[in-house]
Amino acid sequence: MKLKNILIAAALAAVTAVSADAQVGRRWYIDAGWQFNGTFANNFVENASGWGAYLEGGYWMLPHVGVGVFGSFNTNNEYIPKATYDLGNGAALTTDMAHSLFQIPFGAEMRYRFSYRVFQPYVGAKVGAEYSEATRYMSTFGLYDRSWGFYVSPEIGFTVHPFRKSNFGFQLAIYYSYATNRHEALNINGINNAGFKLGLSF
Amino acid sequence: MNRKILFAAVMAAICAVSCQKMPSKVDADGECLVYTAHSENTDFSGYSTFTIVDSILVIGDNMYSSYLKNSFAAEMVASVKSMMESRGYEYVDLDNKDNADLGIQMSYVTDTEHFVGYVGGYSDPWWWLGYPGYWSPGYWGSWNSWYYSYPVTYSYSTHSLLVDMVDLTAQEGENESLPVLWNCYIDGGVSSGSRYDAMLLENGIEQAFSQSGYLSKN
Repeated sequence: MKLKNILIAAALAAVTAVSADAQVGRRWYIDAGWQFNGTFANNFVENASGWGAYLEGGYWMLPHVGVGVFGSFNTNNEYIPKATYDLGNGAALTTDMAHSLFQIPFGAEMRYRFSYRVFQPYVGAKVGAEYSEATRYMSTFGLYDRSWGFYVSPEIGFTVHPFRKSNFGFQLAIYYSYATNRHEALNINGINNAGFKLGLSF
Repeated sequence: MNRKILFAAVMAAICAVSCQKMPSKVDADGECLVYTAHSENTDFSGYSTFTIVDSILVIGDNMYSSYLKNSFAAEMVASVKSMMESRGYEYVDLDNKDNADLGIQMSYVTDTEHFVGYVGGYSDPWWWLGYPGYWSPGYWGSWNSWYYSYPVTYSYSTHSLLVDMVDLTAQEGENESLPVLWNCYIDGGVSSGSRYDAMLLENGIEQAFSQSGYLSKN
């Protein structure tokens, strides 16, 4: 009898939660905006760049839990001043150069929001694939290498929805990501990123 | 609905791919890329004299040899000659080339249609056969052909300067080949043939010798 009461109470609580969710806006979300990305812990490009953007969207399966998809891109460039390189076998090369790392990760994401009111802080995780292109530009030459890898990224941020009759709002988040991409010819074995993103939330 | 989502995804992908940011050329120092290579088995102090062809072979879009002999060519030749003399080698004029230990020939690429793009290691030491009008070993003496005596790896682009140094003390004969002992490749994307371009190439020649410290009589 006691167990039966508990089950009834739990069922009522669940129904109440779903009912409450229906009052907090749309069940889906779309976020898009500008992404500032820094690459580090590699021997190719270690700097930060604002040449990037992101797009992500999902569905709130539960009031606090959403699942969706994402995609983003970033380019990080680094200028290498003129130097002379010993190429072995009696060869040498003198030039300045620029290193460029272009990344496009995409895949699935899961998000947990702590609130579904005006201010909605959340934590999330992304998993998927990453396409990357590493290029070494020298004079009139460009040596490039393309790669695919596995991508994972934890994220923490918030969205703000200040308008009473609209789901429109703003988003700010910081993230770390790691991709398993390898560019052996250019001495890259795994790509670490960290950055923030600033955008609109619908 | 699915078609709209698919369309949006494709458009986003196209946008992402097209948004790759190229490095700014403003950051580049504007100097030439300089590649040099040499035979590590060669003792360059064992040579005493050199000569240099007073014209520059133009590697263009036709199948025939043509040579440049103007103020631009004279500046390039003078620059190489000066660097060789600064390394202790004695210049011998072309009329007495039989007395020279080393011979230097220069080429200027204006078109890559008949010229190979990339060679790695010893896989193809005869890369220059891709251009029928390339230098003939017969110019230097009675050699059957000539070859690089070490691995060469580079890719040519238009408006680049090539310098080859051959060993004129090598055994001559119908079945003998003339070895190249040192070469350099200078590329800076020059195109207008201006005074500034000539200066860039001259700086490149200086750099080529600077990174070839072994190239010395002393």
